[in-house]
Amino acid sequence: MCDPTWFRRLLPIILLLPFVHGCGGDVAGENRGGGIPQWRFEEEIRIGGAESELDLREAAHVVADSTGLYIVDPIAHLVTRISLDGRVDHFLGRPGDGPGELAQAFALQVVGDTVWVQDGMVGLRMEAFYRGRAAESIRPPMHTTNNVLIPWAMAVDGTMIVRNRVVRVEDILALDLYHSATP
Amino acid sequence: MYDVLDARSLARVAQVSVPVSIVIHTSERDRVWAVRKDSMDVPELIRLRIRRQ
Repeated sequence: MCDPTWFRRLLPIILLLPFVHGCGGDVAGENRGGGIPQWRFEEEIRIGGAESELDLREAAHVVADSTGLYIVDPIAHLVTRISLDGRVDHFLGRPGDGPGELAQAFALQVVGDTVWVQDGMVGLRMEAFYRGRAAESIRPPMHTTNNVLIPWAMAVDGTMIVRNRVVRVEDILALDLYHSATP
Repeated sequence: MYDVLDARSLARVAQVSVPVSIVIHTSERDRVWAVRKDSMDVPELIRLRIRRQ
């Protein structure tokens, strides 16, 4: 039950949960003798909207770093890179289903200088863009013997998280693209 | 309502409520990026800072 291998495979999923690290203090003590503390959000920056010059039609997934944002726009079939003041820096992808093209992009992850874009819920493709240029296109196997795997997210180390829809939603498998992708 | 978990212990340390129109996409320490649709159904990207109470 406490198999460390199984825990290691689950770790990326845990890291994707909404969390705030470094809460400080005695966690157990915070909750002792009362309810869960209620925090609130304060808006700092707003980008986009109808009045903006940023022509964003949909934002299926957003990933931020210290200088800007990558935004997956499945309607425009591209990924938009913008700076923190809302200016477009560059685009990744173009409409289509070939290498370097996006048909139904829904998520991305940044791994070093490479941006991995997950495209297509059926017939999944992973499109890699290295420093803004299309670099690699992978079609990972999304079927096991009995089940169809549903792409879910990608961890920062390049491990892809998929969901086994035949069993419970909580039953999640980790698929290492670099070792299991078909040529 | 989002649960805030301690990254090491995974203990729930707080809860944060957001309007249903806001979807949180990524978090880093006390800041998150979220998407909200405006009145014209155009997405807005908003950065939110968590205020502990």
